[in-house]
Amino acid sequence: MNSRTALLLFLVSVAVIWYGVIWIGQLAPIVLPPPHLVVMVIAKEWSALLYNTVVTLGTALIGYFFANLIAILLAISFLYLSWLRSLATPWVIVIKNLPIVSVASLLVITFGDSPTPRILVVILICFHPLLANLMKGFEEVDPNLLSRFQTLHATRWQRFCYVLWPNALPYYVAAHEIAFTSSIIAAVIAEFFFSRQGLGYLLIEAMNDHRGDRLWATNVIIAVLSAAAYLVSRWLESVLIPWRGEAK
Amino acid sequence: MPAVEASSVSKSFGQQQIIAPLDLTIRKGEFVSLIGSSGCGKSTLLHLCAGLQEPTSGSIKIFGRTPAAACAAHEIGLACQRPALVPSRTALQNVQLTLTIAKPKQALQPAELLRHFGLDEALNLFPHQLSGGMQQRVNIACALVHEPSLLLLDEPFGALDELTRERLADWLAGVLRVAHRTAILVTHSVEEAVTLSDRIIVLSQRPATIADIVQVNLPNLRDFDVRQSDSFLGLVKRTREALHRAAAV
Repeated sequence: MNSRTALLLFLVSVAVIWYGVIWIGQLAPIVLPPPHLVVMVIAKEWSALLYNTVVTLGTALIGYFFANLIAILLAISFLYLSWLRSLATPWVIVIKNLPIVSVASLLVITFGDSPTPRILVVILICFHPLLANLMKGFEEVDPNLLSRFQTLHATRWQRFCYVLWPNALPYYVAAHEIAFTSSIIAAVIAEFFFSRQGLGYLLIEAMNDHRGDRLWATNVIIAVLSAAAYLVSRWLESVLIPWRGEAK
Repeated sequence: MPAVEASSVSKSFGQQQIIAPLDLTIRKGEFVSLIGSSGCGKSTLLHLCAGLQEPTSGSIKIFGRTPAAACAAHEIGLACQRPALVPSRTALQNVQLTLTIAKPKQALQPAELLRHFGLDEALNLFPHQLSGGMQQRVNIACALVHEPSLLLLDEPFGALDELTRERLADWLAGVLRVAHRTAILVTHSVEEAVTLSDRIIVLSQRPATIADIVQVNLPNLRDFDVRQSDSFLGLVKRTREALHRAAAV
């Protein structure tokens, strides 16, 4: 089965299951609106939904950019400065295991109604898988390849460019599949707490107004964004590591 | 000037002595095999020659230089059992990479070299698309393309099946006969050592010392017929006996 057929089958299955649950449970539209009602809300309120989607996407992308920057800089620093790695490891472990929902509320109190706490939440959620995978990629370099480069008297820069970075690249790209999708979710979570715009804000507003249809419409958009983020990371894989494609 | 001159070289890791002080001289253009039981220190000795490890005592000179200086002068080519190829580069790009790094004044043409190695069809294939034998030929091309004076081979055919191993040994003998390179081969195969070498150095159990030296006086071309001859089989027997004696010590 090709991927297009699978996608079509998935969309049809979702609609069938959705209608099926409503029919079996005899659920009122306020409890579970039918798919066509959700589509109508998206069509009717597309302008507000689009604006808030752009806001959430902006937060996610800015946070994701900085998460990447921090992860790459830390991974390279840890590679060459073992003392820095020892120093930073407890920090990284603590940050990774932070209860991010409660930390998000603390950040909102500290930084107030600004994009900063929302971007920080995205960074905190996304940077660890990127860092962990990059370090794994650097550590799992073929020692024979490094020996070959040593006998060729390669510089540290050459070793990084030709051996370490290409080896870490598949690991880094694999991390995007998790982290990039998480960046959307992280931005929405951050908007839950204190925000006057964004998809997270729309969710809270829809819940307060008992607007199940808008709640579902917003969730559908979040799901589509996350799926798109996943597809972008898969596309990146084919662009950045084309030799993997050759293997298939 | 000898190609390799090791004087009272020893190597220890912590309290464990891997190589007892030994002297070894290899002439320019000579093909020497190091043979011994597993873990006796053959690869360590090769790594000392490559400058990958420092001796605990004694010194090694490669064409009168320290191994590190020889590496800086691009006089050393190294090929290990597991081909050291960059997965993201094709066979041709992998060979070219050696030249990008070494920037030698004189070098072989990578594409020509790979064609000469029978890899015409494989120039633009990635390492994972090549068979084990083809990967190893690319690996050896990477080690040879910058025309190093000393070729170090650490069980290059160790992971291959018997037939491929035999074919590649024949092929390597032909390549080195043309290239006139000094080479040190670490191997577990007595037949391979006799096929390729001018001299076989049998190392004792750890800590390694030179237990025996087998001089291989056979014609340069050691084809299938030579390998069936009494003199060849006699040398195999003699080396195997030396190996058993060394392992028993």
